[in-house]
Amino acid sequence: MEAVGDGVRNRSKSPRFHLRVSQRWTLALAAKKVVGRKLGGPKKPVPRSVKAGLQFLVSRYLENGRHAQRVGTGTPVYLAAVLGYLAAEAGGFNYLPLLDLANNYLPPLSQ
Amino acid sequence: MAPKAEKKPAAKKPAEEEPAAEKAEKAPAGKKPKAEKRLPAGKGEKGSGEGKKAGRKKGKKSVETYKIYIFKVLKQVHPDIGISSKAMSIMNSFINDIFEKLAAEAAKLARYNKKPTITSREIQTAVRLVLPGELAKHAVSEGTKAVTKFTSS
Repeated sequence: MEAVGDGVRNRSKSPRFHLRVSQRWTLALAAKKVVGRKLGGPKKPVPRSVKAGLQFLVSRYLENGRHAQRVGTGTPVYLAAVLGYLAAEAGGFNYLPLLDLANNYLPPLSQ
Repeated sequence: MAPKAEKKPAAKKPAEEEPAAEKAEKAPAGKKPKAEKRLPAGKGEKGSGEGKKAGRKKGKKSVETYKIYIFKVLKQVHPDIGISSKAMSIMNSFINDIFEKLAAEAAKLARYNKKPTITSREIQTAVRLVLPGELAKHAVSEGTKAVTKFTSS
């Protein structure tokens, strides 16, 4: 009789424990969502060199040099890429492996 | 507003990297006079840049060079090869020279077409005019690739 009574009590306790665990999980997930939203909201500034996948600095030299009144957004990116390529090429760094082999590369006549 | 926020950190980060490079150069006793000799040349080359930065940073004077970027490119291509300080100076002068040529040519193109803006199209045409043969082809492809990646990101 006592054993049967204890069994009934244990069975009644276990579903409550499970419910509590599930509640904790839902609260944790909700908290993560809120935190995620806050973190995702204000985007951190990313340097343009990283955006363009370049090593050379994307900067405002064109504006400082007074070459023109206005400078487009893509201009320093393009110029940085060209300067980086020329640094690799003229320095004898053998840029060839990094180029796309599908371009049918031919060495310049001067070299 | 957004582009201004983007530009400022880009300007700040190289300033952080350059003093480290300068310190590395100045550490050996033998190289100190060489470092001292370079400073006036650097200042002379980029007075306008210094003027603006000096105004912004309240008295800090920084010499801007391409040395850290040339080193990054070298490590990209040959991870285990170094470069001497004189060779680095030559590469730095080379980059400055090409920059001036391309910028001047692009400015001329903008003026001929009566437009106040230098866009990537002007730079592309300037590259084709200034660089010979295959160099121009590859430079144009590199530039186009970079701009495409920049706009998509």
